[in-house]
Formats: sequence, structure tokens, C-alpha cells
Amino acid sequence: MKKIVRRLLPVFFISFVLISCHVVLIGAYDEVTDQGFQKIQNRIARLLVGVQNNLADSVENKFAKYKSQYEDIEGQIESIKVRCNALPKYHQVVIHAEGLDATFKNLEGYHKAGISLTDTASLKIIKSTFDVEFRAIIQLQNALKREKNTPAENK
Amino acid sequence: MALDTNKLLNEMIDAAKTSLGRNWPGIKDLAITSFQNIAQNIVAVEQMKINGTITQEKAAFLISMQKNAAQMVIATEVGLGLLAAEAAINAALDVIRVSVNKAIGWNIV
Repeated sequence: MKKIVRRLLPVFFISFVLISCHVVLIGAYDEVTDQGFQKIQNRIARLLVGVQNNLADSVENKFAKYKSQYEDIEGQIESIKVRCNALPKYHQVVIHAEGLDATFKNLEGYHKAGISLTDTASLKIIKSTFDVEFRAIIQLQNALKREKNTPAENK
Repeated sequence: MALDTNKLLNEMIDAAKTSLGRNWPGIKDLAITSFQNIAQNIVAVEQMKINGTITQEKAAFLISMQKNAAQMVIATEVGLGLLAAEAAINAALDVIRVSVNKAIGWNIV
């Protein structure tokens, strides 16, 4: 009897480990975060369209005219950063939020230095940089969403 | 010496390939498109400097943006790699789970 118990013990131990063993390497999809990023993308796009349309008008394109928009977007990015930092295993998404924050602050600095017609090419670069960043964000968010929607038996 | 978009792109791709190893094929499309944008943007900044249409302060902001973007692309690549690894590990555990259940004769796993 003792022999049987001794033989079965490792099997029970492995079984116990396996029961509790669903490995999680990255945090689960979070709809609020995903939608938050989408809102920020929309607002940054609107801000850049406004700046683009006023390129020839240095008075209308002064930073002060856009200050409230900047504050609004900064608040949203800050809120996403706080949320992502609170979610377990969300390191990659935190990098996204922090990267977006840093790029947005770069844009703010650039705008404070003044934007006029000579900045047409720069504005193109700024837009394409945000495109790259949002493409990276969307790709990971979509992958997390797919993972969430995959039936358990297919995981 | 003038910067070359293709040279910059190839250098970035080589570094990412080395760093990501076997995960590279799964994320290369996003990486190449993004690195292409970043390389083009860096070369465009150089051109603006040559044309005298950008200040050092503004150029620094644009280059800093490229660094942030590259970091974010890598984060996506790492995230996708983690998801793939997670799925593979759990699939492997599932296979063991079935055989263990079968060997014991009870559905305890």
C-alpha cells in the first residue's frame, strides 16, 4: 500500500501543478484601455488637422490657441498610464502609454517653439510618427482582443 | 556624409532580427513598415537641416519622437511574442493534462 502511495504521489503532485497551471505572460485585454487609446488617437488627429489648416496663419496657430486641447489630451494619456500601471503584466502596454505621452510632449514642445509654413515637412513627419505609434498600439490591442475571444479549448 | 534611408532601415532590421531571434517572422511586417517610416523621417530631418528649414531644438523633438515610436514598435513585437509563447506553453500543458488524466483514469486535471 505504501509503495502504491509513493508511486502515485508524484502523479498527484504533477496533477496539482497542472490544475493551477494556466500560464499568463501578458495581461488580459482591457476594453477601457483600448477605447482610451482610440479616443486619444482621434483627438490628436483633430489637433493636427487644426494645426495643418492654420499653417499659413501664425496668429491662429499659436500654442496658446491650442492649450486647452493639449491639456485635455494630456489628461487622457495620464489616465491611461495610471490604469495600465495598475493592471497586472501590462508592461508592454505601459510602454505604449509612456511612449505616446513622450511623443505628445515632444509635439507640445515643438508647437511652443512656433509652427508656420516652413514646418510643412515637419508636420508630415509628426503625423507619420503618430501613425507608426498608433499602428503599434492597435496591433497589440487587437492581438490581446483575439486572445480574449479565443475559446478556452483552443488556447 | 548624407544619411541613406535603406542603410538606416537595414541596420534597424538587423538589430531587431538579432534581438528577437525566432520571434522575428511573426512580427516582421509591422517592424519593417514602422522602421521604414522612422528611417524616412530621420533622413527628412537631415534634409530640412540642409535646407535650413528647421532649428536644432525642433529637430531634437522630431528625433526624440522617432525613438519613442521605435520603442513602441518593439513593445508590440515583444507583446506579440509573449502572447505566442503563452499560447504555446498552455497548449503544451493541455497535451500533458490529457495524457495524465488518461493514465490515471480520472478526470482530475
